[in-house]
Amino acid sequence: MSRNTVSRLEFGVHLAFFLIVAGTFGRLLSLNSPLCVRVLTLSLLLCGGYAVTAWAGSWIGRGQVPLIAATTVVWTVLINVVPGPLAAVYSWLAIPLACVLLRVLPVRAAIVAIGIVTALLVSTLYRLNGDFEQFVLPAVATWATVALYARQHSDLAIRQDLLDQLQATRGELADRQHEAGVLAERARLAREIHDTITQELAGSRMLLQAADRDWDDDPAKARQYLQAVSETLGRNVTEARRLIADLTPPELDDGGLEAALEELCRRERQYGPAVELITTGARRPLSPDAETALLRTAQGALANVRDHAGADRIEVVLDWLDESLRLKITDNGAGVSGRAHAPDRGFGLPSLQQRLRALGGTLTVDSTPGHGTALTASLPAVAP
Amino acid sequence: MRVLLVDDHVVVRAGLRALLDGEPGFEVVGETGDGEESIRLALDLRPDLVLMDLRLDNGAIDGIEATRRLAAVAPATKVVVLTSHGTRTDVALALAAGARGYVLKAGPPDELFRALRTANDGGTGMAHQAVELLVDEVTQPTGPISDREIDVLRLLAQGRSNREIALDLFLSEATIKTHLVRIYRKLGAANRAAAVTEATRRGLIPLD
Repeated sequence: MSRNTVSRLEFGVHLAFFLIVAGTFGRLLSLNSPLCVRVLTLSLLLCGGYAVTAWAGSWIGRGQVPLIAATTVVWTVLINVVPGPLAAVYSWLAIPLACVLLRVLPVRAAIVAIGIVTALLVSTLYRLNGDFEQFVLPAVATWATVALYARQHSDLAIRQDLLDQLQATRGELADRQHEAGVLAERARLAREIHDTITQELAGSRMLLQAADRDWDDDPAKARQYLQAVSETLGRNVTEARRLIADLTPPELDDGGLEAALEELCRRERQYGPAVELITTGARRPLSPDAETALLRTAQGALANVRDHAGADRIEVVLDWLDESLRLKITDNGAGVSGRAHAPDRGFGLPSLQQRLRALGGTLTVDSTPGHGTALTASLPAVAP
Repeated sequence: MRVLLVDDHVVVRAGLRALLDGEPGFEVVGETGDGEESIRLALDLRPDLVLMDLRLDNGAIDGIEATRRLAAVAPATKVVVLTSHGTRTDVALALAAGARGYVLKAGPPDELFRALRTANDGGTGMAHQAVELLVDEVTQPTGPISDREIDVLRLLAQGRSNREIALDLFLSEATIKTHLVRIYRKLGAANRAAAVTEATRRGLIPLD
């Protein structure tokens, strides 16, 4: 059951209310009854009270209780002043009134109020013609509609509760994924620093220790060691810059996925390879989750190519297809088997795959040893 | 003393070679960055000593495994393990695998030379920091990380809360907290992130 079902039911009830009032008043007019003016006034009061409670109820808060009470009184007066046959028709307004009472009042008060309305209805009809069938039907219809209405409202409340829970769980899940991502990223950076900068610094220090020792006895050798250290430190500076760049990835806020990919490609070119970004198809708005997942995929693919593939050409293709969005990163490097034992830098395929799968997407890798690798991420085209 | 260098970083090998080349009594006879290659070279070159890095990222086996195999196939060759930072577990594992010494990269050169000479003379050549780690292990034993603690670490790495980990492992939240305290102590970590980082570094949990 959807929220629409309930609002359609409510709308139907409200519509019935105004049709009955307008229809009955039209009939009264055609009879050219002298009661017209009085009935018109009462009808307008009734419609006004009902309309305000039905549509602006939450707006006026507690004020709707006296309002609906007054409306009910007007209805009682009305069914007592109009001619018999018309009063019978007006009495059906008990149903919409009961629904509004149920919504406005606390459950117990509502049941009492609806009981009173039903009693008024029954007594009026009984007074008009003592026929049992004439009043039992409206009474039963009132309570049946009220029961249905109450049931749908409680279903709606349960559904809303479930939706809220789902929303909360989703938020929590997103937080956890984020946290896991942060931890994985830290582990990756710690490892990177250990594998690159720390090792090169350790090597450099040993070279300097040797140069220091050999300074007087073998100056040529000492000088050779110094040159080796100088080269190493140069590489270290580049490596440190790259780590800093990894720590501050291109931001999606600055211009969306394509701008971020362009920036990513620009940075990658600084490490040597020719990197080309190609976009095809008509671009569409994309959810932030999808944008982030695709950006991380590109980042991970480029890091892997840089670390293991030894490629000098990389192509990043973003295809906006009708049914999906595809991101393909192709390189002309060593291929996957060339990195069978390579350490995972945390940009690993499993985590990317998990991320894309969570969004209904896929990640595939095609590779021939010696002929490069193509990594394809695909996400279904859904509105954000 | 003929020495074989095993380290996957060219610069580290260059530094070691520079230090050993200028030191009387040492001769570097070969170098490699691969664990399996180091065994072939050791059998081929018959060095007196192998300086072995613990982490060999580009190869199929790490330094511990290479040490174990070397001890089996070339018992006359003494392995001295070399790392950039040691933990108690690293030292214990290396010695258990058959290493005859343990030194830290870029420490005082004399310590390196002394450790190599001691190992060559049939002793166990330890850098003083490695000895301290061993003393800690004896005086404040932590024991190895248990399987259950690994389960906790794996969930921790996924960013789970204590409550979620408790639910997953059918344990109470208090038990998880106790596990965490033990894990922190064993890994020398101060918080969740540090524990995950250290566990990953030791290869206790996969990076992904």
